[in-house]
Amino acid sequence: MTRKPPNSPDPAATPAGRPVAPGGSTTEPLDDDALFGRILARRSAAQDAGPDLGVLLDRWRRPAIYVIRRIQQSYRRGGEPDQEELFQDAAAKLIERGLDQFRGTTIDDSGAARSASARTFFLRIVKHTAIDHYRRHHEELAPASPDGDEPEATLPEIGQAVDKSRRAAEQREASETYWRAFERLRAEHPNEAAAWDLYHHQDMDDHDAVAKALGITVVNSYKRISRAQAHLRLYLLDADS
Amino acid sequence: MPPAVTPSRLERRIAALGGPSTKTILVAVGDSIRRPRDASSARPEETERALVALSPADVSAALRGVDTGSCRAALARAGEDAFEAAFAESSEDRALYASAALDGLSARDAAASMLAAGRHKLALMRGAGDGATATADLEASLTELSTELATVDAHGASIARRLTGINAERRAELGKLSEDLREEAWWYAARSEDDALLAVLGGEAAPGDASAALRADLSRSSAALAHGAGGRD
Repeated sequence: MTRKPPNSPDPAATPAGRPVAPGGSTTEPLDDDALFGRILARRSAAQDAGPDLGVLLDRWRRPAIYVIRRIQQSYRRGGEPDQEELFQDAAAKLIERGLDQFRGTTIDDSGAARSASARTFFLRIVKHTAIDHYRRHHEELAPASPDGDEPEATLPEIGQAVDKSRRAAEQREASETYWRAFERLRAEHPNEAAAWDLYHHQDMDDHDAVAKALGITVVNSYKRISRAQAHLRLYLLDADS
Repeated sequence: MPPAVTPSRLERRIAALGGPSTKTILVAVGDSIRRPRDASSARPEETERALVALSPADVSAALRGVDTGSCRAALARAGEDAFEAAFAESSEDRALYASAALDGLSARDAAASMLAAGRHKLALMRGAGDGATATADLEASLTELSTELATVDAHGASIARRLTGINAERRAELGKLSEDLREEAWWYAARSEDDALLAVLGGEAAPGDASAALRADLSRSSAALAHGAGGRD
């Protein structure tokens, strides 16, 4: 077993994200996964991982805000003040529960395990935090249930049930319409469909990861997703007219 | 050596369309009728002379020969090319796609010109005192073509959204048309002010000052899109 030299610097005292090279000089910053690994190691050793976490969250802020903005567009709710709040919520979830849950894999829609980067893992937390927030908000805005003082008030209950059933039917129909449009995209524009599939269906909320998976540039990933979205909206509008 | 005869505007237009035939004469005449102020358009005397020279039977046959299936396919391709122009990565690519899209639209525009020329021929025949029997077949062929073109145009709204990718070119073409004919030329007119439509649908631009029609498009496509883009059902 090798001993640490007595005068070696304490890793926690170095600038976060920078490993220390032999001789004490700092080298290139650690990449996200390496830094995340160090955070996990420090936590399991009951050491302070705060500065490293701060660096990582700072790096991930921009893609996270982008993810939040997309969810806001989908739900047509929220604004800039919400974005910071949701980012903070997601960061809190990562610290409270996510760090212990990260296994370096994610489960896709078919139930298969895929390797996942730490960043993809965090962006999934961001996405689900935002979805939960706006879903909850949507339900709060839905017609209020009748007061419990009138247990025999069956008409409002029936009305609610009918309303709930109608909403469920609309959801089903919207889902079917969406998947038909996606099938058309796959048939007519397979490259765009592949990027869209990774980005949206397989929770790869990260253009770096999509680009790597498809062997294209990050710019191309943005372009393909954008073209895919335009095609899909056009198909949905075609189906609606 | 005899003096060189300068071809008339109508002759030049007919030559550009592939040489004289009943079809190209009708298209050239119709173009001139629909674009009276365009510098390349023939004068009314010239177009009338050309129409009088055509027999009603030939005009009817040409109208019945319009391939509306090809016209429909050309419009759909024009929509796809205009989409590509909107998302083109270089100005050269954009110009190529825009030019191909405009070519596709010219098929539908040519059919509109043939219809306009055919109607003018009918008016000239009636003006010359031809009775219902003499004009019946021409009238019937005009009605048939109008009906078939209406089915081609049924998907106009859908194609027009894609055509916004070449709105600058469409507005230039629209400006050449006689004002009273602009609205019916939907292939140039529909959504011709919605320049940001495809960028907004693709999420590359914010709705900002989007038109009411574009806002409606966004709203109508959002619920279903959320199942893939925002939901985790």
